[in-house]
Amino acid sequence: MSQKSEYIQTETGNKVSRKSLIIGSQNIILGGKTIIQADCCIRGDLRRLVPQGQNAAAVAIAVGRYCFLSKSCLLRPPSKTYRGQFSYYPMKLGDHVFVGEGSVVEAAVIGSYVNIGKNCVIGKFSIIKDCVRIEDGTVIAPNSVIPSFSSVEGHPGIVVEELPETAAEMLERELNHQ
Amino acid sequence: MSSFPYIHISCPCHEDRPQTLTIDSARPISPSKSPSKRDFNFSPIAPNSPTKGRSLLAGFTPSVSFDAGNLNLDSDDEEELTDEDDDNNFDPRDPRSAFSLFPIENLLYCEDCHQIRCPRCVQDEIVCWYCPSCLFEVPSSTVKSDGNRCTRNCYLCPVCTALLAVVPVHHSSGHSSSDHPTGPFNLFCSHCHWTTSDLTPPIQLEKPTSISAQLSKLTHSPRDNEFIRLKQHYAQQLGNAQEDFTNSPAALTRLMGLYTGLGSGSGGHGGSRKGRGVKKLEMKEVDRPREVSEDQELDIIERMAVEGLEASKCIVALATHGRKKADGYGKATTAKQRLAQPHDPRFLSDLTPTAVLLRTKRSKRCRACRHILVKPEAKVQTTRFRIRLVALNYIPSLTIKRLDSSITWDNLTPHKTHRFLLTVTNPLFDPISVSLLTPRRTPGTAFASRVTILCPEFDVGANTDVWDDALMSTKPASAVPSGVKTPPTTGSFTSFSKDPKMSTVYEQKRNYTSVVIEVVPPEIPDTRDTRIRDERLLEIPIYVRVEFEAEVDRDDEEGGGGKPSHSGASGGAVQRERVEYSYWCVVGVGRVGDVVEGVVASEPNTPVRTPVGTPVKAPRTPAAMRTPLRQVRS
Amino acid sequence: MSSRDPTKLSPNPPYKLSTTGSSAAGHRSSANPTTPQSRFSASSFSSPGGSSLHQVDEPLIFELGTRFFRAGFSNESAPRCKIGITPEMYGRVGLKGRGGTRMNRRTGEAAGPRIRNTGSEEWELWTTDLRLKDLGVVEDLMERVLREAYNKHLLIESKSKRLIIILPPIFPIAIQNTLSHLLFLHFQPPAITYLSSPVLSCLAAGLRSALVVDVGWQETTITPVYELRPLTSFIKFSSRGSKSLVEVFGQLLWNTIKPEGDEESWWRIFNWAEVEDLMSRFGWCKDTSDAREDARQRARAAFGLPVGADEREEEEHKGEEEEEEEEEEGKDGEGDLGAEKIKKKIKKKISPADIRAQKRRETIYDAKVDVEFKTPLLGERTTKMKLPFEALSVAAEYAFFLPSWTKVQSFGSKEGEGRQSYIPIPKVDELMEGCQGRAEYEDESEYTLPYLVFLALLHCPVDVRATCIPRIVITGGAAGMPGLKSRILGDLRELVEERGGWELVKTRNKKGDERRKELTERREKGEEQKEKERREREMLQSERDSLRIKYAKFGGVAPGTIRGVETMGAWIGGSILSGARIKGTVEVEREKFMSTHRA
Repeated sequence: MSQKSEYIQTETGNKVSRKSLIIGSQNIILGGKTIIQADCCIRGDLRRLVPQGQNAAAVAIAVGRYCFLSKSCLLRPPSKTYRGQFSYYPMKLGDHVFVGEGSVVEAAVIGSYVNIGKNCVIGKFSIIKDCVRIEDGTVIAPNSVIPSFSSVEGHPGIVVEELPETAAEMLERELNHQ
Repeated sequence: MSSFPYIHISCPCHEDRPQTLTIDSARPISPSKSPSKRDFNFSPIAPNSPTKGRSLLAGFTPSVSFDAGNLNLDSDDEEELTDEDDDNNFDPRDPRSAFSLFPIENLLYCEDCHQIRCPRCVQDEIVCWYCPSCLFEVPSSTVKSDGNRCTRNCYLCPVCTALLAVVPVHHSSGHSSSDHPTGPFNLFCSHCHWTTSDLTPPIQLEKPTSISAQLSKLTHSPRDNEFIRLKQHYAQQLGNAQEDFTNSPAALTRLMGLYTGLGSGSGGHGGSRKGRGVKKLEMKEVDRPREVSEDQELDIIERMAVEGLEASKCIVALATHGRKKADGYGKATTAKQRLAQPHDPRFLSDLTPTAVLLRTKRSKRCRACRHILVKPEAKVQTTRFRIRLVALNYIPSLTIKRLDSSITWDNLTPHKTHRFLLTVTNPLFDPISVSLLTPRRTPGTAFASRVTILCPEFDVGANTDVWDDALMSTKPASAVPSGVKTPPTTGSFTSFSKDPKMSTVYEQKRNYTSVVIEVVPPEIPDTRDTRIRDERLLEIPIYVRVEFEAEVDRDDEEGGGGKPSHSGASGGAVQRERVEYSYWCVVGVGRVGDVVEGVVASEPNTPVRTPVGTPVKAPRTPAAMRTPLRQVRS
Repeated sequence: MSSRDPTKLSPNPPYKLSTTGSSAAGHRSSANPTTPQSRFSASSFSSPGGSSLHQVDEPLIFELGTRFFRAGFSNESAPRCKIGITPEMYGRVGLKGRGGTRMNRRTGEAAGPRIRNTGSEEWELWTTDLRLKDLGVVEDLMERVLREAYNKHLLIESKSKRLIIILPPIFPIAIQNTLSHLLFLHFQPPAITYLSSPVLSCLAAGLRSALVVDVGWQETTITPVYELRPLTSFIKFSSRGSKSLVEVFGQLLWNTIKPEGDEESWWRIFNWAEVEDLMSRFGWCKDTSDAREDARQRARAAFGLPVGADEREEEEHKGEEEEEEEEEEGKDGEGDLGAEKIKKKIKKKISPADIRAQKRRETIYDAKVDVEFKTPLLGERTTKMKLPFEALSVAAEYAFFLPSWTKVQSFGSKEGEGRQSYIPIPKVDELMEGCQGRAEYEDESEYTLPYLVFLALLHCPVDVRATCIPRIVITGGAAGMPGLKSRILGDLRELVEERGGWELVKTRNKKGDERRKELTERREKGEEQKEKERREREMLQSERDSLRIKYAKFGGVAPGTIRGVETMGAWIGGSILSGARIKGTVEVEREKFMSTHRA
C-alpha cells in the first residue's frame, strides 16, 4: 500500500501521504505507526486561543498510535463561543482509531479502538469512548456522548447494538484489514 | 468493512435445544444436526486405540466414534441414506439457524463445560447501571423508581433522538448575557433544531439545572391521571382507600367476584346485600367510564386533516427557509417516535423530551454450570474485564480470502471454479489437528453450489509466542516451527503425519494453516421467487472438527464424556489426553452473479488432488428434487 | 486511621464503608466505629431494604401481541417498552445493521426467512396459524425479543421477578408451552401467571362486565366478559384486523400507481413499515352517517340514478327523516346519543353545532396529504403521491366495513365527476342482497365488524347481553384509529334499529316492509291519524326518557343503550391488577414446571 514515493515516514513510524494536507503541523501530535492517506486534511492551525503573553505550546490535535486516517477525511478541532470569545478546543484521538473515507471529525475526544466508517460526520464536541464502531454514513449530533461497546448508526447516530466483549480485538482486526 | 466474506459459527445450543411441540410435520422430529458417523471417514483407527474420543459436545457423543467398518460402506448404502444425510447437514438457510449463527467475536467459551456459549446460552447479571450520555453510575436502589432513565440533565429529542442541549430562550442578546445566561431556558436539539418551545403549550424551564424535576412538573399526561383514578377506584372497591391494596385473599375473591348472578348492568334493582357491593362498583362506574365520544374522534380527524393541509404548505415554506428538515407527513408522529414515548402521542406537538435510557454493564454466567464467563470491571468508564472467556481465545478461527483477486465477492460467476483460501488459526497453546467437512452441494436451496475443500485434514501449530519459536527451535521436541509435522505422539497417531494429504496444504505458518476451497456456483435463473429467498447468496456450511492433546484433570474427565479412561495407553507420565470438539460454521462467500459468456461448466479438479485412499465423504445433499418438503413449501 | 482500626492491615479505608456511599466517607474519619453501623442499619431500613422488598413483590408484566411486545413493571401507567417486530429481528446477529446480505433485492429490505402471503409474517411475533409456522423460529424470536426487553429496557435480572403474561383469550397452546419453556429455561423467573387480555381490558376500563372488541393485528376478537370472567364459548373471531387494514391500503396505493398489466404484488413494491406508518398516522374512519351516505350514492349509481349534489341533499334530507322514524321504531330507546340527535333536530337547520360540523366536513374533504414511498423497483427510487385526505379513510372501509368480496379499487383520481368513489359500485343483484350486514356469508370473517359485534351480543345469554350492551369496550391496535370506535358503535346502533332489536331470528326486511307500508298508507292516512301516531310515539319516548332519568339517578345507563367505554388497554389492566398484590390463583412455578417438563 505504501509506495515509497507517496509516503513520508517519520521517526516514530508514522506514514504521512505527501498528498495530504496538514496545516499547523507544530500543533499536531502523532503517536506513532499512524498512517495518513492522501487528501486527508488535518487542521492543526485551529488551536486554542491563548491569552497574550502566554506562549504555551497548545496542542490542537493529538492522535494516538496505530491510527489510520483514510483518504479525504477531515480532522478539525471543535469550536464554540464561550463567554463571548470564539475559540477552538483541542481534539484528542486514542490508539487504533480508524477514520473512513470522506468523514468529518470535530469530536472533542475519541477513545481507543474506534472505527469510524465512510462519510460520517462526528459533530462538534462529541465524545466517543473506547471500543465503538460508527457505521458508514452516520451523523453524530454535536455534544453527544457515545459510550463504550456501542455500534452507532443513523441520522442522528444512535446506539443500535452493543458490541461484544471482544470489541477491541474485533475493531483492531477490522482496522488491519482496511 | 465489506460484508463479504464472513464466517459465522453455529452455537451448539442449536442442536441440543429442547424439542418443541410441532404441529407442523415439515420439521422432522429429531433434527439432530450433527453429522452421523458415516460422515467421518478418517483413516482407520483400531477400536482399541488410545484415542479418547472424548466429545466435548454432549450431542455428538455417539456420532464421533470411529469405526473402521464405516469405510466399507457401499455406494448402494449411501444412496439409500442420502435422505437422512440431508437432515444431518446444517442448513444456513433454515430460518432457525439465523438465531444460532454468530460471528466468533460474539461467542463465549465455558471452560467447565468445554462448550461454545452464544449470547443465548448465558444468563446476564447486572454489575452496574449508568447513563450512556453523562456516564454517571446510577445506584441500583433508584434505577427502577427513576424508570430506568437518567435523572440528570440528559434528555433526547423526541423527534430525532439526538441529545438535547439547554439553551436560553433569548440567546441572541449579546455578550453580556452569555456570562450568566438568564432564563427562561429551552431544551434545544442541535441536530434537527427542535425545541421545547415547539410544543403546545411550550415548555420553558426556569433554571438550566435539575431539568428532570422541572419537566416532571410540566409534563403529565391525562393518562396518568386516568391511571391514578382507576387505581384509586379499585383500591376503594377493595375497601382500603388509603393504602394501596390489601394482600388478603378476601380481596381477591371480592375483586374477581363470586358469580353473584346479579346482572350488574340492569343496575336499578339491587336488592341483596351482596348486590349492594356490586352496585357500589357500578356506582363508581357512573361518573368514571370514559365513553367513546364521536365528537372527540372527529376533532382528531379534523386536526389530522388540517395538519395534512398544512403539511404541504409547510414543505414549501421549509424548502425555502431550510430551517427544519421537512417531514413529508406534517405533524403526525412516526411509528418510531410513538414507540419511544409512553403515551402514544399522535401529533408532534404532543411529544415530550425523553430522558436517556440507562445502560448496564453485565456479567455473564454459563447457564448450564453457572460459572462466570464474563465479568467486567465495575467502574463505568473502564473497558477492562476481570473475567473474559471468549471463544476467540479457545476455538480456532477461520478466515477466508480470495486466491484469485479477480473474484468479486458480490458477483461470482456461475460455472466457474472459484478458489478461496481458508485459513484456520489456532489460539491454543497446543497444536491441533483439524478436519473440515462440507456438503458437496450447498444445502437448503434448489440451486446448490459445488464445494470442495482440497485438503480437509491438516494440523495447525500451537499459538506459541513468536519469540518462543526462536528460542525453541533448537529443541528437537518442538514440532511447531516446521508446522507440517504432527506433534510426536505414540504410534497410533503416526497415521496422521504420514498422510499424503498434508502435501496439499497451501500454506502453513506458526499457528495457522491455509487450505484451498473450490466453489462452483450454479447458474441461477432470474426469477422473482428466487430473489425473495435470496438464492443467490452463497453460503457454505463447514463442519469443523478439532482434535488436540491437552493436559486434563481427572475430575474433568468424569464429567466429560462418561467414557472409561484410556489414558493409560498413551503411557506417559504426563496426563495428556486427546480432546476433540466440533462445530458447524457458515462461510458467506458471496453472491452469485449472472452467467458470463464463455464460462463452461467444469468439474472441480478435486479427484486429482484428493488422495484416493482417504476419500472425504462430506455429508451430502441430494439434488434439488430431493430437497425436503419444507424448503419447497416455503 | 489505621490505628483506629487494628483489624485492618492495610491503610485503606474499610471496604464496608466504601460501599455505603461516598457521603459516608466524609463522616468516616471523625466517626467512632458505631457510626458506620448505624448508618448501615439505617440504610437497610430505608431505601435499599424497602426497595428490595418491593422488588420481590412486584412482578413484571408482559403483553404478547402479534405485532408488538410490551413489557413493564406493575403499578405503572405505561409499559416501559414496546418492541415492534421487524424483519431484521429474524436476521443474524453479525449481519444486522451492516448492510446485511439477506437483502430482499426487490424491496431493498432485509429479507426474513420466509415470506408468504403479503410479507406480513416478518412483522409478527407469532401467528395463530401454526400449520406452516416453525415453532422453533417463534421460540427463537421470542427469546430475542425478551432478551432485548430485559437487557435494554427493563434493566433487571430476569431471575428476580415474577411474571404476569397477558395473552389473547384464545392462544395456541403450543406457543404457550414453548413460551413457558423458553422463559423458565432461559430467563428463569420464579413464577409465571397467565392472564387473559379481555378481562384486563375490561378492568382497565373500570368495568366488571363488558363486551371487549379487540381489533388486533391478525384478528379481531370479540369477547364477552361477565363479572371479570371471559365467556370463552361466546367469543367471535374475525380475520379483519390491523393487518388487513395495512394490506388493503398497500393494495390501494399500488393499484393507484401501477402500470397497466403489472402483476407484481404491492408488498414487494412498498415497504410494509412505511405503509403501516402512513396508515397509523393518517388513517381515519368515516362516521356512520357519512359512510351510509356514500353507500347510498353507490346504490344510486348502481341503479343508474343520477348522482349529484342536489340529489344528495335531498337524500340527506330524506335520510334524516328516515332516521327520525327509525329512532322511534328502535326497540330499546336510544340513550344519550339518541337524545342528542333529537335535540339537534329540535334546533334544526342552522345551529352553531351544524355550522361547525359543516366546516369540519369541509376541512376534512378539502384536505390533501402528500405521501412519499421508497419504491426501489420502479423507475424512480421514490414515488410521490398527493392523496385526498378522504382517501385515507377508504382502507378502513374495506378492512372493516365492507363485505370481503368487494374488490379493492385504487385512488386513481377521475377528475370532473364530482366526489369520487374509491369503492366500487356494486352490482344490482349484490345490492339486492344488501351490502351491509348481510347475514348469509359463509364465514364469520366475512361479516363486517359491526355485524359481528351484533352477532356476538346476540349469541350471549340474555343477562350477559343486557350487561354488555351499554359496555362495549373497543381496544387493540387499530382502535386508536380515529373514528373507528364511534363508527362501529354507530353502525351497531343502526343495525339494531334495522333489525328491530335483538331477535335471534331476523325478521327479514322488516324495515323495508314498514317503509313500503308507510308509503302506501301515507296518503290514505289522514292528518289526524298521523297526529295520533305521533303523540303515541312521543308518549312512549317520554316514558323512556323518564326511565332513563331514573337510571341516571342511580348512575347507570338505561338497559339496551349501546354505549362504548374507553379502556386504557390490557397492559394497564395487568399493571393495576398486579399492583393490587393479588397473587394469581393459577401460577406456574418454575420448580414445578421444570420437574414435570423435560429437564
